[in-house]
Amino acid sequence: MGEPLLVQSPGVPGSPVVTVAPGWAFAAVAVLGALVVVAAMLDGALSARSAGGPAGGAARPFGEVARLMRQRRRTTVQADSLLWRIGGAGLLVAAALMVAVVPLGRWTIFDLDVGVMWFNAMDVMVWALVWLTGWGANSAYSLVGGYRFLAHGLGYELPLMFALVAPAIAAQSLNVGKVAAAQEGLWFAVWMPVAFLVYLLGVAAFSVWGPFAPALGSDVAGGVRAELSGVDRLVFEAGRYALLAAGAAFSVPMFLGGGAGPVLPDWAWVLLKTLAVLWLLVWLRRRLPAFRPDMFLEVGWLVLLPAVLVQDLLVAVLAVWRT
Amino acid sequence: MDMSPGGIPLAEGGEDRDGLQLDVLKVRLGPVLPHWPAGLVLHCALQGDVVTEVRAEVLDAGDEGRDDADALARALDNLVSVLALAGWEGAAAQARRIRDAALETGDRPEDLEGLERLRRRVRRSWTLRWSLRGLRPLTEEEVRHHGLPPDAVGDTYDRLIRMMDRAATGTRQDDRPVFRVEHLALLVIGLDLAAARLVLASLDVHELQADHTQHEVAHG
Repeated sequence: MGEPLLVQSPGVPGSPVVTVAPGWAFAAVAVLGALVVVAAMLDGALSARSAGGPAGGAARPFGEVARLMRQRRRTTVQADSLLWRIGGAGLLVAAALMVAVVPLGRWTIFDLDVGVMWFNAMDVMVWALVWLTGWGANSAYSLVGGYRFLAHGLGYELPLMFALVAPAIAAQSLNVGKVAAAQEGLWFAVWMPVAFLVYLLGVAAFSVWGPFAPALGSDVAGGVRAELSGVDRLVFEAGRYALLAAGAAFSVPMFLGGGAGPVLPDWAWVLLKTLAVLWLLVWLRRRLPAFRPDMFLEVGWLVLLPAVLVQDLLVAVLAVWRT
Repeated sequence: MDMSPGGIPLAEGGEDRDGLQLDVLKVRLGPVLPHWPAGLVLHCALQGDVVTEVRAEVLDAGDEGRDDADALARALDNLVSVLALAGWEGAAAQARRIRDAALETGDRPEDLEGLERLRRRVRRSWTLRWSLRGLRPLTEEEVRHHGLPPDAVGDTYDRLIRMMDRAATGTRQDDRPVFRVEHLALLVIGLDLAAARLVLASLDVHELQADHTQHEVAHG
């Protein structure tokens, strides 16, 4: 990777990262796409291994893509096509907007002074997108999937927000680059483990992944995606992987020291750490039973939320004490 | 005003359990669904995803001849269903693998590789316990009243553990009481879809089903 064409960042004075020319957004989307492919291959390999079949599950996503590309698009009676398509395609867009504020080492596409809030806004948008996908199809099963996602959302969203608050307090900035730079020597994941864990749960949740997958449950014929077929389904699934990858990428500047690391250049460290977190999230899918949507609210509000608030308090006290 | 756009009647509103107005959707579950007792049909009224009314019927299910390997595979099948409905793909895949091995080799359960490991894994999982504990608990009296087998006592988690034990020891239960389908409907009213399906799967209805049709045939 050559040295990108730099432009001066006017917005954030003293920013530790440099804003690259807007054209590099294509490169960022390409990296996100590569992460999606890697995550899907990994999931295919793990599925094949747990089913005990012959090896080679890593190639499964490609077969699946070929199948979906040729599949005829089905539609339902009186579907609200516009909202339905917005929902299905929106996940990819939301994920791309998330990675826009993630610095790849020293370079960032969009050096926003409230980058953390930006990420949060995108993950809240996922609520609407998943719900619209479930609602637009005009099908009872999709609708039930949508309800399940909202029930999970009520449980995970506030803990996730407060988990994002902790690094921001410690860094005394909402700029993602500054949060990464504030972790000189000690990663935030180390001294705010509760916030990190809750954040990872939140990423799985807004990707409708693993224990948060009842919204796509096989007991309701695939839930939200029950009526999605062909390219629509492909885009929806890619969107889920992209959200997972974007969540993993965002955890690097927030909790894992950004590009800090020996020997390798900083952008390589960001990619490596992203891959590690992504691997963890993909692997997690098969390890845990689903969190039942009707019961998760209790966990979210009585366990996760207090835990993460105490974490925020500790971080705030430490931050005040250190200044 | 067009009350059935596209030929589908509009959902009518009704008071839900919190006294709010919510659409009532008519949904038929079965007779063929993954992880579902074959032939069972539930005509449900759903508000949101909560089952508010149910009418149950059984479509004719022929009684296939079975041997011991079948009984074990069937027990493991039920286990796969509960684990899959609980959203635990890893354990469900493991159970499915053991089931296939049981059918292929015709081994007795104690010879089956991995069954004991699966049993330990299921028992150790606290998330599974948390999600199934307290789900449709049945007292001994209720079990008798609904005509369920005596080992249906307890909540869904208890039933799963017993199902696991049955599979691990290869016990066949030939003396199951006659199962009455209209009682099933009573058991799932008020639950949401996911919970209703978990409860049904935990009751091990596969084996009960055949008894019911036999009963009908006997009196027909």
